[in-house]
Amino acid sequence: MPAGPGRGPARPASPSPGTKLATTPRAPLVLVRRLTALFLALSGVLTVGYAGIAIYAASRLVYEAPKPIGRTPAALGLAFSPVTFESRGDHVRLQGWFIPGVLPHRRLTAERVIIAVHGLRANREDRDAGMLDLCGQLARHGFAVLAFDMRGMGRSAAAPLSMGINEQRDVLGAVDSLRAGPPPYRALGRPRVVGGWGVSMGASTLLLAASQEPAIRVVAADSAYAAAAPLLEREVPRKGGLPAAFSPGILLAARVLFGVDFYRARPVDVVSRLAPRPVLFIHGLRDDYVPVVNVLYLAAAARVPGSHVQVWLVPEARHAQAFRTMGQVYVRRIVSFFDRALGPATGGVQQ
Amino acid sequence: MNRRREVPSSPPSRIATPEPSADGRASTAAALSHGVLRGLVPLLCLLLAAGATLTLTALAGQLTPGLDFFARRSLSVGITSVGLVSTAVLYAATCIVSLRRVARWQERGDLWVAVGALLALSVTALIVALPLILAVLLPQHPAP
Repeated sequence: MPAGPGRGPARPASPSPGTKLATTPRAPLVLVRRLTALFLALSGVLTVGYAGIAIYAASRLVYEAPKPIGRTPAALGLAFSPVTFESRGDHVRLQGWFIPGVLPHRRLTAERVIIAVHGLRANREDRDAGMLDLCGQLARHGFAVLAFDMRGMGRSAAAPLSMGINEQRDVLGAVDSLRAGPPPYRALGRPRVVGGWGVSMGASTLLLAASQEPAIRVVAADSAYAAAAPLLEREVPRKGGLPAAFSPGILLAARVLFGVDFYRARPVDVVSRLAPRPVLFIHGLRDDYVPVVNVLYLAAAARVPGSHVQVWLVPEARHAQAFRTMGQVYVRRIVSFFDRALGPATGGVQQ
Repeated sequence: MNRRREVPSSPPSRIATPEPSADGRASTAAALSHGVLRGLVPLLCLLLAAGATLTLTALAGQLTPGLDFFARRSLSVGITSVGLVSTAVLYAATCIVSLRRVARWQERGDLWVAVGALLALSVTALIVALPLILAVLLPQHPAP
């Protein structure tokens, strides 16, 4: 009955059979609709924002502008020869230099070669770690050194950074180059034995490579990480000023967009395969980038029957600073370790 | 004999509550299902758009082997960014359309359809938020 003068307010008509009515009141349904709209909007905005930031951070994670090389071995008064070789498997072009070892009476030798592997976002000079100076010291103690720029760094070909997953092929390429490539110093011949020294990511990369290449007869790993993912999960948000919740998204974006699965970078899983080759783990006790627990995990994993594992914890040394902190003590330790493992140098060619 | 007229103790319900019948239950279920299916359209569009973005990104990498890393990196990021924005716009548009439909169903009295659609839209919002929820709640990768 419609409303009008003299009439009461309109009453809703009685429902007729067949009318589509529900037992649910309408007002709460309107509220539900509005809440659903709000939830949809919020989830969409937050997730899109999260994805966008993760994509941007991942693109920064896998790429670093190559650092220029400031000094060469000539600055140390040492002879050297530029070398170029390809990584094993994917043929990435790599650049480096070969420093012949110096024996008494100015003889040069390539009998015992140490492959030197630099850290993340560095190059064959690795100024922070003092790698060129250490290579010079090794050369003066009769070890030839092959130091090169890993992919995506220095003067080597551009490639995504992968915390050792792909870079291990660069180290294996270096071994291939020493065994079968054109000798940098033809008169010195090919090496009798090959060892490796690495710092930070270089150390972990060296462990990964050596686990599958028996030709690397001895390994000195300075400031290696046992696994890359925990390190990245902590450092990536910290350096980017992001909450830790962004780490999984960033690592997933790196995998989806660039094919880099940082969760696979786990030297701790393969280090047991180095036995019975001697391994020296070096770590600074004040390392706040790669915690000391990493070297303890690595050493424990490497200690299998027949292994020869040494651990040197350097007081007061921060990340990759053991050489800079200990100087000649470090050199003597490394040289004696390599001497025992690779045997003395013999022969040599007069310079 | 006066018979006292019984006074109802509570106002009569304004909404009829027809006795449930087999036909009524079936039509309610059908309405609910219809609403759920219509409410899942934004999620379907989102999944299709996201899948297309990932496929295009992968294809771009495969079809440009001659490009150097920098160019491929820029291409991947560019395609993914455009895809992300497109997905977001499509998601927003389909959600708005779906919510307007729900409002129309409510006005027409097709409340079970509206309820079904709202249920599906709520699930959609939950699925969209799931990566965030997992990123916050799941523990970080444990140390080796």
